[in-house]
Amino acid sequence: MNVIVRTGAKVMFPLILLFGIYVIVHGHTTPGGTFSGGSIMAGGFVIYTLAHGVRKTELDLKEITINVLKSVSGFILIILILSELLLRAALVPTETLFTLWSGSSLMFFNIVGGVMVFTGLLMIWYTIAKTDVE
Amino acid sequence: MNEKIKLSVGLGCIVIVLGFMVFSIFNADFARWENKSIASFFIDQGWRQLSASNTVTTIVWEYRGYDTLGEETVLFTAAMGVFAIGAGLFLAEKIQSTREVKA
Repeated sequence: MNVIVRTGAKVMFPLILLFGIYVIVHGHTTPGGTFSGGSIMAGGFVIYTLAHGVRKTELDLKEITINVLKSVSGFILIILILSELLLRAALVPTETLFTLWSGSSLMFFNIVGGVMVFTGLLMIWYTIAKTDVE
Repeated sequence: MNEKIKLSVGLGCIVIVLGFMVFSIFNADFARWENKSIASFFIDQGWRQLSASNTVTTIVWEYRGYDTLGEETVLFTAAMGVFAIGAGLFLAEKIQSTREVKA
């Protein structure tokens, strides 16, 4: 792509990632959460790939890293859901409404699920983008 | 004969489901707001039980947590399926190799 697109992507990419992380971490206080935050983060990587190409994006975030991250986060999600009762009993007394530290274990669910959605969409996007390599 | 039975069973299922949907839309008792007690329960009790101000996330991850686990599994399976299909699908190379074989 030309220099305008590359510069725009360079400026927007960290902001989009930051906004996605914000949406995921604040999923229990403000609108948004797992799926929307993960989609925003994956969209940032899509813009980066469109500007710089798949090869350069793969140097920054390898496909094997995505696979490992997705599997590990899925495993952690199952462990979290299985240990839900203990976690909630330990967390609920220390909470105040409308702050970041509220909603028992919702924040951990949001983070782990957001990583899963992000890596899943990114895996699909990498596969689609790689089929067009000449 | 066998295909006719399959077709009639499928059409019967579709007719039953559509009939139930139309019935529930025009049934005044079903559509009234006060009878959906579960909605008012979520609005009244959701933030008290979990102290989270976003009720949607409360429903998605706590009251229907196993449903969301299934959703994540669906997404995981979809990504794995696309990966499995596309892993050996570098189209340009494949087209080139088939051309070489033909020539």
